[in-house]
Amino acid sequence: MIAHRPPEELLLGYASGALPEPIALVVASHAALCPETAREIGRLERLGGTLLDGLAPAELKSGALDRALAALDGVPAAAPKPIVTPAARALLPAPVWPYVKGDVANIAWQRRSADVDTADIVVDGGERRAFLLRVRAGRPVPRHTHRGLELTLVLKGAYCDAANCFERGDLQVADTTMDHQPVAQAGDDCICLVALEAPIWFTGPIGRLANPFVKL
Amino acid sequence: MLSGVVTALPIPARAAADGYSPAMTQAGGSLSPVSGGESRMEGLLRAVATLRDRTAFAELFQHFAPRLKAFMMKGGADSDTAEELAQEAMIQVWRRAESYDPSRAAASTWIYTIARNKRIDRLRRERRPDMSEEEYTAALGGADDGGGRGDRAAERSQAEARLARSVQELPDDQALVVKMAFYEDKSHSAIAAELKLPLGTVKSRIRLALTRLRGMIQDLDK
Repeated sequence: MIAHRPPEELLLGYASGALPEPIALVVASHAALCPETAREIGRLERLGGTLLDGLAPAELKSGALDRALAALDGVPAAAPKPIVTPAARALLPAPVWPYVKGDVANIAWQRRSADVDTADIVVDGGERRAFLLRVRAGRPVPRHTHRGLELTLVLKGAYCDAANCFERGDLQVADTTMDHQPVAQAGDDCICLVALEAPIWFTGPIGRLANPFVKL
Repeated sequence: MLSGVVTALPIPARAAADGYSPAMTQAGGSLSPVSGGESRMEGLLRAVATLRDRTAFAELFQHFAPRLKAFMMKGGADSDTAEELAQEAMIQVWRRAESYDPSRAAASTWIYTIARNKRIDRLRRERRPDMSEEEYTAALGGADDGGGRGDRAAERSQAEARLARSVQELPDDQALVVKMAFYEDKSHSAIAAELKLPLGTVKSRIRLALTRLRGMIQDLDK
């Protein structure tokens, strides 16, 4: 049972295709770990199917069907199943597999501080990105606030902020009103998949000094 | 309970180019015989899947391709691009028909997800992160046992019809925002900007519409 699930607005954005890739990746990854979210998305896609069916048909060019039938002959068979290592299966939800070519060895960890490593998964050209975040057991992420949406999906270990604790499969959605300092639980490093709409802004006394230098 | 799952498995363009695509498994093993309650479109899709039946494909094409073209045009594609995307989506329907499971999703829902992903791949040039079918099945607690599949397809097909009616009966202001969300893949704030409405109004109209439809949509999970 997953305790922390995304608001309906995000699920609708996912089902309708409106979410940018980094955000969609985190929502899909959460859904892969959370049956209730998967079902909810299925329901919204059903509404999409109903709406598609209800559209007034647009006129096709003459010969459209013949062209489609002719194209069927050259259609390649479905691609073979990719190889995904057991370590990747254990840590990463399926939507992430293609981004690391099915192997955790392809995760490009970079050290950000003594306590924090990150590895980019999707950088979409603007400021939006999705990345893996690894926080050492019992250690905090510097206190910060957000200039856009922040989605955090726990993949391993757990973390707590002042209000709640989050475990594997839980998705925390933080917006610009939230100023928080997550702390990894003792015992195990905490690995999360994070999507950011805009760079976060450190608000603590030490983090503030780091703002010009650290791009998390 | 598995009927909430949509089995379309988009192969993101970039991932495919890398020689990597999401795992694809056929759901639930063997197909049960076409039941009387199954809708025509679902029967056709299964004929494509099991018999590679071109006549069935042609009928599916005649129904869906013009709607897919309309869908792509609403999403901002010009007429030529929309037609090309509709063609590609239908060819994907042919290619992936084996992964379609009528006890889980209506033909229109499955084809919608293919079209939506194609729109993202092509018009936004983004990859579409998606769950593999394997993951869906695991997330939902095990594979479908296949029992009573025909009955479920029949019930689901009736429930789909009820849903379609309720969508038509939505108040205009609610129907408009829901359609903008799905047809034009607009975010809540983009809809608010276009309609010159406060964001809160758009959010509450969408929430009201979804609340109204929820009972109907959930019937389909039984």
